[in-house]
Amino acid sequence: MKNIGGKFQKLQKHLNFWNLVILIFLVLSAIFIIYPFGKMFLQSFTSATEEGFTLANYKTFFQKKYYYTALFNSMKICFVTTILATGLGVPLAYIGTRFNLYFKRIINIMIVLSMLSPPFIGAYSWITLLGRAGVITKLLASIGIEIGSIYGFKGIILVFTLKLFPLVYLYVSGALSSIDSSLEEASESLGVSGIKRMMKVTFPVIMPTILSAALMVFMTSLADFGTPRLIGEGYNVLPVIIYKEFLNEVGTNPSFASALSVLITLIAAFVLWVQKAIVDKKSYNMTALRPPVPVELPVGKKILATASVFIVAFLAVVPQITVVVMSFIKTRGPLFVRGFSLESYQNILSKLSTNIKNTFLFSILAIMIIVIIGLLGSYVIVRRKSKVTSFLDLLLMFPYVIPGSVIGICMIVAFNAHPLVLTGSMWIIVISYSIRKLPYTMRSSVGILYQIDHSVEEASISLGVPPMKTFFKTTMFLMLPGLLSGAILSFVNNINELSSTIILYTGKTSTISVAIFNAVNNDAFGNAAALSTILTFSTIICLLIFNKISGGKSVVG
Amino acid sequence: MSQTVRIESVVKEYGNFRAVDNVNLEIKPGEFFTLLGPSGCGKTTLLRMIAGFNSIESGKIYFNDIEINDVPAHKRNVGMVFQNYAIFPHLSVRDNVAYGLKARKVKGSELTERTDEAMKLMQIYEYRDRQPSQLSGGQQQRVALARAVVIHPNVLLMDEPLSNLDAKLRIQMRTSIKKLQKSLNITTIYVTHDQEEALAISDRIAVMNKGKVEQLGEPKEIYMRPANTFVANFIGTSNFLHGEAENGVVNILGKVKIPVKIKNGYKGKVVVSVRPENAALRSVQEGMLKGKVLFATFLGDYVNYEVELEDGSSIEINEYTSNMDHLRKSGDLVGIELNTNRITVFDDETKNSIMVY
Repeated sequence: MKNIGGKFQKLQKHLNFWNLVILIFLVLSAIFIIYPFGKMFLQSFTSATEEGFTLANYKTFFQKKYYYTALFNSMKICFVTTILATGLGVPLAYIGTRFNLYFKRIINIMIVLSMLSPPFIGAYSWITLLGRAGVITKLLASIGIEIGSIYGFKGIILVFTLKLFPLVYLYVSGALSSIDSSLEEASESLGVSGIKRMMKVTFPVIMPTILSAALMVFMTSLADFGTPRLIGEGYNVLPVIIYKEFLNEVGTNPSFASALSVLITLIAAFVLWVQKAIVDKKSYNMTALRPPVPVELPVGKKILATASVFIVAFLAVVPQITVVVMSFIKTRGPLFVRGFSLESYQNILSKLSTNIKNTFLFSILAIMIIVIIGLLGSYVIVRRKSKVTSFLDLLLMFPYVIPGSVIGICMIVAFNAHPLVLTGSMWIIVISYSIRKLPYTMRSSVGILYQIDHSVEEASISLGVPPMKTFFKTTMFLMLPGLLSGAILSFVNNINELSSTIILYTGKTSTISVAIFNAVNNDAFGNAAALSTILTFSTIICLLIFNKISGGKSVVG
Repeated sequence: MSQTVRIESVVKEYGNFRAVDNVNLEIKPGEFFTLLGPSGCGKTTLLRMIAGFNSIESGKIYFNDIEINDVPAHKRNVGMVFQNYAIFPHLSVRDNVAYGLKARKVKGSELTERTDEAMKLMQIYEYRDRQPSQLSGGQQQRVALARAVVIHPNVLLMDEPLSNLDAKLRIQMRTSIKKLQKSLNITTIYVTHDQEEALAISDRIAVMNKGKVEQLGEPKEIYMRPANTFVANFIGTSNFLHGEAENGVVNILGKVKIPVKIKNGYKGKVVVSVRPENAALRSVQEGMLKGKVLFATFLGDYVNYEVELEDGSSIEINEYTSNMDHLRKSGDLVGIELNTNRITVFDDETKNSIMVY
């Protein structure tokens, strides 16, 4: 008898709130991460033409030139973009942190803004400026200068480089600012100064950061759908052919698209593995007791330095500026006619108000979900460490390697049939947004919790506040600023998201990004501009709120 | 009401490792009891078991004869002060101090009065509306103390509360803490690795090493009558000399014979501990150990000598400047006079004291 009582007590102890949370998260991960990806993975081994398990899809990919060139193209784009973005971002970061420049705040705002904006806006903006009928093209033609075509490979590289170098810039700036002065002073006192010191001390120390940023550039350019689709003009890369094949297979099982998805995920996973294997090993933990003081340059050099950084930063935000200007100009289809007009806005507000409403609704719902998961999930991972929670951590990080288009396909494959049908509803999009931002949210929440001293929680408990109440009263309160600033960045990413939305949307659940995409394809450039402007301004507002809450923290943390 | 804390055969295990190995202690009501030992000795682990943050693998802990093993931490009514203060960063000083009272549903004028009283006691009343980020380390520690005592805890637990303060402040604070504790008469268990601090503030000290209690006693006893070589070495400074004992006489280094009050009939190899203040430098003479001065360091009120003995080992000797004949220099040959009433003899094998007091 006594034994049963004891066992029941033990069961009760285990049935506490946190174990319930872990259980629920495991179940949700199984339903919304393992099941979709697993089903898609299995689907890649089926085929419309053959019965049962088959490698037909993979064979087709590697045998047909049309397909494997997409792989080469993707790799080309990724490598070139990474090299250029890094080559641009690192020197600019060095100049930006080591020297006092004019307009430093404006430069930073421009750089962050371009980083937060969706790349496909950049794509279509540059088309507006440098495309066949582009404003600058015509201008230069009128004075006899012929510029080459911006479409295809070159255009993609241009857009990606300008959009992604800020990532490198921000990461490397952060690293350069955390080198303690004593490191470089020691080098100087030992006789190594100037450029040599830069090469022998400064750069090796920030190399892990440079590599991390480079890998992020690689993964982002690998996964992006909108840019190559808009400006590539038939230049096939993996996300584009995934989309095409998916459209071809609508109504049937997207087995070929699944196979492509698996391939692109494997590449992303490989890149991530490289990062873990090489970069993480060499990372140095730096907290500058005395961060380096920016050097004051003589006026001439200062102007030169400022100009170089300013011009590049300006080029990065040209798309946004273009788009805002265009939104206020009269249009006739793809052509802009002289004259200020609010016509574009009238158009979109009357016809596309659902899209606008959807974008913000879906994104807000998504961040509500991820804040809760981030809060509870980080707690069990950090404060309730066990094999189970480590596994959960891994599960929640898994979506990081899955490109947006692939998440879209996974969702469709998993939820277009019984037992759970979500396709066509708004929830499939909300869930997709949540899953995409889950890894980032988990990482930042865990980081925040690590910084909160455990003894503060223990102090609360020792003073009589039960552990759970302590969590909600004290810990959560202390985590909130960090969680909210992370949520805002996730919100910005969600409102701008296209890769998965374009696969998941239906008439009623369409969003602004989809509308822009369709508008550009239909030559309704005015509408596209107005919609893009709404996104840009929302991004700016979010950035301002972010700065307020995070107290000046960097966007890349 | 100050409470007794009884720790009975308590064990803490992490896998195969015993952090606390069968510890038995009884702490009297109102006592200032210190757990002293080097890093990793188990003192903090034991404290956290009393607080309720570490589980108890075997054994029992009692507050006033009530077993608290299964009482959750937030119900034990302990006041805890942490090494890094653990002040709530988002609350003002007043709200920090009032935190535990609010948790006990204390309201209105009683809340205000008790909070104010605690803040005035710890001399932080003038900072009552400040945020923690605006306070110095010492001020934060006082907030932590006020917060812990205002709830009238059964037991006050302090985990190296002064380690993060600078030297001078540490000495000031330990006097404040001692006075506070005496006036409030709360049973207090204090953890530190600083033996000077422990000697200064404790009613009794439990010296711990590798999960076990090496010796339990009042500061004077621990210092003057160490139970083994570990305690002799950890508290203060000890010089260790080898020798042999028989019939109540110790032959040190085969050079001098000294009568000592050791166990009847003991015969064997011994280690003799001599503190630097219990040896004096004289002229070379019979019946004394011979030595050569290696270093003389003038420290104001006393001089610290490092003296080399005939077997090549060296010992430290401190002489008060007001007492000494003259300042010796390096190279001087000296005779070493031992205060035979103050030396401790340990069995060389077990390292335990064989003294009879």
